[in-house]
Parts: sequence; C-alpha cells; structure tokens
Amino acid sequence: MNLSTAVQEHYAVISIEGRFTAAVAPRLREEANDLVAEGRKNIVVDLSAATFIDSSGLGALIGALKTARVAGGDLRIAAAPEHVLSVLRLTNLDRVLRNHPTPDAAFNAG
Amino acid sequence: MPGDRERTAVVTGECDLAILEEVLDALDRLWDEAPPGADEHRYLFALAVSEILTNVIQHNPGPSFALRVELGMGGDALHATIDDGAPPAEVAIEGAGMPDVDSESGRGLALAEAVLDELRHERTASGNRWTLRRGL
Repeated sequence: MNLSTAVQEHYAVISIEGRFTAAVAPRLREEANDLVAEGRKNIVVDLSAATFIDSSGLGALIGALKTARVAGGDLRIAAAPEHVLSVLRLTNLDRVLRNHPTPDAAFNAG
Repeated sequence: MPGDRERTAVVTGECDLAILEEVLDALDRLWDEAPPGADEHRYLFALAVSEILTNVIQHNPGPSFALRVELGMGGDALHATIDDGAPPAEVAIEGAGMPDVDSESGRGLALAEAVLDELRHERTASGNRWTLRRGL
C-alpha cells in the first residue's frame, strides 16, 4: 500500500494505492489531521488505485471526514472503483461519502 | 474442470496485522490460478476474511498468539477457517447491525455476516475457530 499527498490551490488530494485496510487506516487519519492542522481543510481521497477496502479503511475515511468538517472543510472521495462502491453501499456510507469522477470534479463541480 | 477441484492454502503467523496482507495475497493467488466464479465473489469473500481476521487481531487481549488461516476454493464455495491460540472469546454474531453512518468502527461483523452464507465462531481446545463460507 502506498499513500501520497498532492496539494492543489483549493484542496489537497490523498491518493491511496493498493489495499486500504487496518494496516493503512492510521496513516490516512494522520495525513488528514496534518493537512487540517496546516489549514488545508478540503481534502479529496483519490481511490482510483485502491485495489481493496474494508471497514477499517471506511472508518478512517469517516474519521477524516469528521476532522475536516469540524474545521469547516470537507472530505470527498473520487474515482472509486466498483468494488469500493459496493462496500460503501453495503454499509450505507454511499450517503455520506459520495463518489466524484475525478479529484478535480470533487471540489470544482460544487 | 480445474474449478471443481478443491484447492487450499494455509498461512500461519503471529497475531498482528502483517498476516492480513499475507492472507489476502494467498487468496489472490488461489483465485488467479483458476477463478471459480465472478469477480464479485473474490472481493466480497476477501472482505469477509479481512473483517474477521482484523477483529481477531485487534481484539487480541494479550501477547502475540499464533494464528492459522486455511483458505479453500472448491466447485461451489469459497471458505476459510481461522484458528487462534487466544483465550475463548465471547462473540455474538447474529444480529450484528450496521452502526450509524458517522461511526468510525463496528461494521466488521455486520459486513462479514452480510456477504457470507455461513459464519460460525466456536471455542476449541486451544483457542477460537472462525468458519467462513460463501457459496458460488
């Protein structure tokens, strides 16, 4: 698994590559905490290269979403593959983590 | 037919998250050798295995215990048996509901139950055994 961050003008993109499980979940929470602490409170998680997600990964996304919202920002997901979307639907989290086609569309499309 | 023959893999190791990657790798290898069904089965079964194994590892009350995970793919089902050497666990599988959407944990058992046809926990002489089965 690989996690990388790219800072854009109005938001930051965290890209997750590989399996998004309990082994990775703390790293996403830390990264989101660091970004929000730096004042970057709009975050997109790019899931295009996520090969797998389980409830630990989802829990980290919800934790990071709450961190961003408490700071007045938001966390959105982008480019999630179908197997990730099916786990979101199974957990009813598709209602709070709506998928956007690209990281750019997540914040620029309103 | 290769898909009709039962194929198995066994992964053993210490009770920490490193074994999760090994088990998911082994599952991928078994699947890739001869995919026994639609890709959806692969993801949903791996999801159930990951949920139960993560629960076992994270709720482990003491020092490291040995884990043994047996994976199997046959003509009509995917299955896994997870054995730990930990003290007997109190587990209520049935009725494990999905928590509120803003909860950061507590979805694992409900997810596993939703995607499996059989999920069983039993105490053995040496620890706990979880049995997982998803029909193809």
